[in-house]
Amino acid sequence: MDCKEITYKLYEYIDRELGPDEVVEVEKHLHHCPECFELVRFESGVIKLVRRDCCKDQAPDALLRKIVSILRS
Amino acid sequence: MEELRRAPETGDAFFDQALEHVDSLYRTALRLTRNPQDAEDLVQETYLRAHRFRDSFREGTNLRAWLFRILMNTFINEYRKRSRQPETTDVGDLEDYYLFHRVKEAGEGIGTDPEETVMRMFLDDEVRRSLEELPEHYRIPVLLADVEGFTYKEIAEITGTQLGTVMSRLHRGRRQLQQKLWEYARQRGYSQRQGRGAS
Repeated sequence: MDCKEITYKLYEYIDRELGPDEVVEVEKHLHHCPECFELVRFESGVIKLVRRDCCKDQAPDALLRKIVSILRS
Repeated sequence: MEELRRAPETGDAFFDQALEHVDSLYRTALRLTRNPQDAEDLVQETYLRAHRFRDSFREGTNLRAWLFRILMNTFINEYRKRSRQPETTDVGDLEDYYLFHRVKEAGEGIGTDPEETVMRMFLDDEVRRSLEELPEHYRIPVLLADVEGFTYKEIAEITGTQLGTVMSRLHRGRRQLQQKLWEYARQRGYSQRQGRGAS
């Protein structure tokens, strides 16, 4: 796999959507290519950032109580 | 992101399990409706329907994805029509890995730990606002993949779309999200702070 192919497959790699053979191919390339490796780390960082900042909200207690009463009925 | 929280008991194992996902459903509803009251109503309606249609849930399948499918259908059929917020606009095609290239062009150091660099670049509010500004057809797959950790196949099932559509929307959505994040960073003067000119 070359750099161009990696950029096509990068999100599927990060999202763990590639088959085992393709993962081996991608990682073989990343091992030798600092530019692609840097890009992969950066893109995983963006995804983690989104997850971190959007996972903080919790359902209000009043809502939880309403739902429990719905489910008990 | 699975979470277990202070879920009170309903006296029914199925509903107790369903309640474990209330925070995931609520934060998704919040990003979809962009309004706390609508988000509460949407989640409440989701559980009402889960209660009413529990017989349609097949034992041994993914309860979390089933609840998200109800949430998404309810949102599309009930809430979108009377949305209080203006719909966002699509900015068209953007370069792949938009943010990475802008940061590089600005002469910003990515550092030895690119993950850490990007995590430190933005404020919480900027990430949430960027996400909420995305058009719905991009916001939904980005939320489901990046925040909730669903697989492409699960997202296709939850949203009733083809796998290929999920992939292209997710990837385009991430690009647009990055463009919005970069705008916020620029407004804060990020590129001037350490800028050393284009490399």
